[in-house]
Amino acid sequence: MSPAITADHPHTAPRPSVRPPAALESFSYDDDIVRKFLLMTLVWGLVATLAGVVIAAQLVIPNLPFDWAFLGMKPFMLLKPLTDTSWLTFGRLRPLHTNAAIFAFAGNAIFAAVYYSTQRLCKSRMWSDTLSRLHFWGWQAIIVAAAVTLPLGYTQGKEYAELEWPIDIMIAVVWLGFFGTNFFMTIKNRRERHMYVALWFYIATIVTVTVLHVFNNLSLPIGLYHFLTTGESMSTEVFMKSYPVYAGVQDAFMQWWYGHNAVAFFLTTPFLGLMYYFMPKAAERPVYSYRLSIIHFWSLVFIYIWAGPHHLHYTALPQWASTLGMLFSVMLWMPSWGGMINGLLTLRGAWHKVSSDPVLKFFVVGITFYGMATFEGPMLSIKSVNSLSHYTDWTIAHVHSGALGWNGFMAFGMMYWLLPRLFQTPLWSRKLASTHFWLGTIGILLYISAIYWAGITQGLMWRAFDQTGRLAYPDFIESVNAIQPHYWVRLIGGLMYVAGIVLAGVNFLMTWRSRPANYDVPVHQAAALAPLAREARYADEVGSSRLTGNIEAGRKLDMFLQGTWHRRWERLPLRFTVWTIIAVGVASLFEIIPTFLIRSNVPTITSVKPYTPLELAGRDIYVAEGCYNCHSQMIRPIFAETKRYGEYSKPGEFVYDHPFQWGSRRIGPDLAREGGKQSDLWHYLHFKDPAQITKGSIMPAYPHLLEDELDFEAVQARVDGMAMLGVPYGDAVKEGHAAASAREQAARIGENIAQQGGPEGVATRQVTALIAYMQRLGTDIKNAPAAAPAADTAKEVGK
Amino acid sequence: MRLSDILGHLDLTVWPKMALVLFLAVFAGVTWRVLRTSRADIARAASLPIDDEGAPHV
Repeated sequence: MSPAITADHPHTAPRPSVRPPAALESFSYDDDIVRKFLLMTLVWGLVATLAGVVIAAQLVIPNLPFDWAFLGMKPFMLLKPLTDTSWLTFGRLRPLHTNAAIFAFAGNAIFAAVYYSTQRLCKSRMWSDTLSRLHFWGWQAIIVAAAVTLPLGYTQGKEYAELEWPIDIMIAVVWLGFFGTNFFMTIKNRRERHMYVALWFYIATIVTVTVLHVFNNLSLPIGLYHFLTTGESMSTEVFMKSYPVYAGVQDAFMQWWYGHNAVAFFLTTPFLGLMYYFMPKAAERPVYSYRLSIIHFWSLVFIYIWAGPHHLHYTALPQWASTLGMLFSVMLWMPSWGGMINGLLTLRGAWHKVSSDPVLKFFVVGITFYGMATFEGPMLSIKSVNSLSHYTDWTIAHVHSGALGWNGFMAFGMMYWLLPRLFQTPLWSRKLASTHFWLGTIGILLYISAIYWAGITQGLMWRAFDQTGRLAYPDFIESVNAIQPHYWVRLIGGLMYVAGIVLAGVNFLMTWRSRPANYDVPVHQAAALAPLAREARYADEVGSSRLTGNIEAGRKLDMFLQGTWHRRWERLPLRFTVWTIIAVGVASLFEIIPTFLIRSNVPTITSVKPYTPLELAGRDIYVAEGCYNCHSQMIRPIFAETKRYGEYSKPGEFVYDHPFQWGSRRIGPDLAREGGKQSDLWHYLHFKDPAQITKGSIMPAYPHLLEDELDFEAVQARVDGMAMLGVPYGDAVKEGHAAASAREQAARIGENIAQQGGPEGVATRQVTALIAYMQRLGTDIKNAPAAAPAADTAKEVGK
Repeated sequence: MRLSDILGHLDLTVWPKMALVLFLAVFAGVTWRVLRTSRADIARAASLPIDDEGAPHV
């Protein structure tokens, strides 16, 4: 399919023009902004992976022999704070790790790529240097805000969308207001008529991420709402708190529509743009097939947006949506591999360079990981495979082959290609870059092979039955213990990857130190684009009819059949953008509208009532502590699950869950039916020190919940917020009622704990609210009246 | 009867099926179009990243 560049088809041959040549304009590129983004790519890459190492260590540290002494010292005790310090717990740091990896590391890499390539592909400096700087500093401020708020427990409780509403607003302003405006104005003022395919990928990224971000983060800031309605200001924690406007099934659907497409349009399309620009640069030859790149682009834009529901197989999501997500995910395999093949075959005739050029090494392995991850993704979306893999560490291995292999290596390949050009001096050490490559590659392989093994082990242990028909591993902790060695290997692999980044930092620093005193800023010249006159659109700019003796309509039809209309689009950024939005928007609406409007998707269950004010406060603690990072609340209708956890989860059980807390993995057991299984005292002691209750537990201790007082006055704001979103709270919304109700229920739980042999006087502590929530989980349907719900349940089974 | 009741009783399950057909048709159209684009245009577009700056400092 690739066009041969021959003397017969010189790619630079000018078309005969009907207009006089336009005057040349002089311009230079803004490489300073690229240097800034590239530096922060490295810095945040190091922070994100270090955070990953810390949370990986937290899953093995609890089983260290803390009392082991050496020369009178207990060295492992130094690591103890990682298991019981409130702002360092796994539940709070894991979102920090994921957000840093996605939005800080990959984000800055994307921006470096976009700012470098867009200017050159458009033969135009970025439209506004001021907007470029506002974008840079604004984005770094967002990352710092995330790094501060996530450890403090300010979170929306939705994966990769944890950041609270003030930061979400900042993201929207910086992303679209600064970055988007600057990008689209640069495209508008470009001096190259054709928009190269990398720019299409960037356009799709900018518009789709905007849509995803805005709609998934529609929420009610409860502190602000309380202030506006009562004039009463609340604590910072309540001010930052928001509830999503969606609940339960619909919130889950929106979240994974967002979550999957964040992978698609933040971690895939911009990196493909990067690949289509920097791979030809590094290989010094055009992309293997430009035609294939166009098909790659449109098929990804058309198909990716549908794939989200594959994250929710066998959950309370309607089956048709889940099946649709699976089908489109499987379809994604082909365009993804088309892109991988296109990237790798760009090296045709240049494979010998790979052994000596670290840039090509990173790109080749990066693109190979893209191929692996995009084969594995569709495979995991097949329901039967997913029934084994979901909630296990298999997903974590899959994600890391993509993030460390594809995103990481493409970013580092680009970095090593850019360093000599941006700092106008040879790379300090190619050998060090190669060492980085090998450390990183071996690190990834260690990481993913150990975690694949761990994930499959978990999945098989959870579903195993013995010869008597009972669960072979009835205690969840057995699967936790079984994969501890794998977690250690993962930690070593992660450390190797981090070590590679440190080497990259040294190379960056030393190359920077060799820079010239003043950077050479070449001045380029190109003619401004002449406006496309109506008649010229067909003749001069986009080709001409092959017909000579036909009427005008015949010639126009011939040009249409030649595809002139698409070439016009490719040159008209606004229309191109609009069509991309339409492709993404139509797909989303076709899926979302039925999910939201078909009543039978979420059959109501009469016995399901709103949480009490205390339980609601406890639920907010559950969200703030990030419990969803380790515990699911979704029992799938699979025999091994109902046997282990109880009755499978129904859509109607979640109608008051703003946000939903189904989770996506089980480092610990599912909690959907936890209510009533244990005593209040058991929960109290478990939060105090889980390892004392369950030998081998790797759950952090929560001493701060046992000591910190619950803010009863803030409960009213929480209840009012939920009522505003349509949760029927009745009298609880009357001033003072919520706090009084919460105190009353807390007193009862405090008495229970004391009577069961626990300490006195814990009724006002935060742990009491959390225990109230735990004891409520999944109990409503057990209170169902005998007659009515039976019909509901029968209907649900058929969904 | 509320608006949500009316919308709730519409049979919207046909939407995703329509969309599937629609998207496949558009995909086929794009593929067909791309295969018909002239070699010269494709080659010129593909070469855009190659010649866009001066000599590198390597």
